[in-house]
Amino acid sequence: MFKKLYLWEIRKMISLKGIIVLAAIAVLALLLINAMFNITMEFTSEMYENEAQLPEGDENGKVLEDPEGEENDSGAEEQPPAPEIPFFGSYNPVYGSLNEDGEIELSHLEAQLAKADIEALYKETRENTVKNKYFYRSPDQIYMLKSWVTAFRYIVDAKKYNVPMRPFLGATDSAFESLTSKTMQGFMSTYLSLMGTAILYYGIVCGANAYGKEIKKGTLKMVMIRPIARNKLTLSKLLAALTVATAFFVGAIAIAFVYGAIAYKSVSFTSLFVFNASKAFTASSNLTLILVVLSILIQTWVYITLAMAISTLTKNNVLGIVIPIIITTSIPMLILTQFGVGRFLFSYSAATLIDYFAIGSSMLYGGSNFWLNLAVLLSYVTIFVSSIFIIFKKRDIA
Amino acid sequence: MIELARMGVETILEVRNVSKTYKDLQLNGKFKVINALINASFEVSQGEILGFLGPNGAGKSTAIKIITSLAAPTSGEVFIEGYSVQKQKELALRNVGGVIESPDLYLEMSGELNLKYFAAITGGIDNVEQRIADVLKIVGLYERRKDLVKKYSLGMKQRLGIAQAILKKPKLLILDEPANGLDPVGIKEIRDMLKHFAHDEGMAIMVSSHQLAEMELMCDRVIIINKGVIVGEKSIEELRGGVSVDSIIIATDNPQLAFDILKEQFSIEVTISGNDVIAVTNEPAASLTRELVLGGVNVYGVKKKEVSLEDAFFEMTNGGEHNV
Repeated sequence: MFKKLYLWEIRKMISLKGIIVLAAIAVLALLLINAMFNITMEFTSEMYENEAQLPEGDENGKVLEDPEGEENDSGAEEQPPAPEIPFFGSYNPVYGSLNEDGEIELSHLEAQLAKADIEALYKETRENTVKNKYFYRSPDQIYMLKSWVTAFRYIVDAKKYNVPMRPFLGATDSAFESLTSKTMQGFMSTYLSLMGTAILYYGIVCGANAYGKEIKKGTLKMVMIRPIARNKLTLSKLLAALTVATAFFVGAIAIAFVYGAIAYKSVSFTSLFVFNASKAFTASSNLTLILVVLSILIQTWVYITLAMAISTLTKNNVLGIVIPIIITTSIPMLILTQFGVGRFLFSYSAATLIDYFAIGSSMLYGGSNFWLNLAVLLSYVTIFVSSIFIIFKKRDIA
Repeated sequence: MIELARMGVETILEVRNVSKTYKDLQLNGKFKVINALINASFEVSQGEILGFLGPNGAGKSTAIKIITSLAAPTSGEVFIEGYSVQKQKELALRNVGGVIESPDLYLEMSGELNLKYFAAITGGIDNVEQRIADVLKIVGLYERRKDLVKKYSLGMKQRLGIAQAILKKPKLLILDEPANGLDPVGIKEIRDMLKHFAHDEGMAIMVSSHQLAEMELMCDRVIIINKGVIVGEKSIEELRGGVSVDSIIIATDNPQLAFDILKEQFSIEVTISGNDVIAVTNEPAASLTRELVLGGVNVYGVKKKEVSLEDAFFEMTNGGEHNV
């Protein structure tokens, strides 16, 4: 019985109109990204040409160890051929970089590192930022510092001075990079970010309509007089909304993969990640893509629970659609972070999980970390989901 | 009906001391306590059509929603086939079909698809495809089964509503205003259909309506509810016979004299209305007019007024009070 209920809820959520709109967006996104690739590639090629920095035969990127452009040609000749690294960013110049010999140029950080007095530096930074009231409402300087130190320590300890690695700098950075890298991974990342947004909105509509529309249209009472326990109906609706959004996203991944594989070359390389500012590790750059996909999926899922909770509470599907969409725009977050509560906000906790794998992401607000962020997100989801069940269990159907 | 009674009819629905109170937020910000239903108890048996009558806001919808689990009672309990709707919903509502308030169906689905959905979530229907086709033929929508419901007229939606309610051949059928939106021919069809379901197939049917004449033609028994209280529960025959005797309206040239004569001679209830006197009595009209003529009153006309269910209803609800 539950299976039937669940499958029918899915069927009710998939409308021909919705499929047509999503298909149109899928095609438009393909065209748009191709156009953007052409523009950005022209732009980046010009940049490389002007700076005369492209290693011979490498048309896409450049080697990491040379963020400041101080490398001389002789060094490059002794090394194995530079891998294609579609990246033109650099280590954060404020905190330091690695030179050709693998030595760390930590600039002002170096002294503290030598004295093993990082704590003093943290303390100083925290005091300054807190004193100036920046700490809780601006990028977490201490987190950034810690993650950079962790990254450099890892390179030093693992003796990976000459291993070309690209630091993962977070979701925003990843999106920018993927636009400038005409590769399968770059295409997939950009395409899935665009489609992810469309599917997030579709998921919000499904979540909001699950109860909100049925209450408004009166169809719910026709359903509720059947021999079905209310909790079962709620569960089937929630699972159906999650399934529909996930299925569409899996479809988008398939399109991105097939088109990306046909139109572009698959390029992967070693990336450096720092988890929660405390654990550095290297992995294939494909992990970045996986993180982007997971981040989009998690956001879609949690926004569906939010939309469903709002529409169930207000008995209004429009509010269930509009409020979550406003929240996704980050406008409320920008306002509320001014009061120092940014790290406890729903939209923040949903959006930044991926940035806790990045080195010095500027997305992270003061006073949080991966586990706190995860706990905040899970608390929200628990509140949303349980409120849907409780409200619906108790409510009289008008 | 009689045969069923002999066989020993089964009580399908039992409403036991059900009350519903809710708080309504007023403009002044205070909550007003509303007693939507006060200690209501009644039963519906196999093979009978029970009419549920009352002015708007009397508590009909509240009662129906509590019976169908859409609303929770503040106190009391409802049993269907012996199972508590409040505690064992899945068992209690196994054999219940209904249309509550209005037939709100999925407009963007076809009539047939609506039925497929409701059949799937009701469960326990054998040979679903065939049953859906049969039901569509019963309500006269078979030809339009592939059309989207948003293209249906109100009458067609009403029929589809009944179709989804009878999909599983329920033991208890609950219909809210089933005649709404139907033309006279459609109303008769529905009435005959319901009578067939109840009297031939033994379904217990509960119908709420404000169309009193229709109730009179359709129901075996009516419950009258006003301000949340059940004020009467009688068979149609009992209701007509027990509430009031017939009235005789006599047009005269001297109503006051006629009033005095009738009061004196027959000791009956008489009222004056313009040039008419209205006598509430079962005495033959001829006796009354003879006495009046003998007393010197000119009688221009005599009209006998039968008590209808409507009169009974108004009497029991103190004039209806609301627009019914």
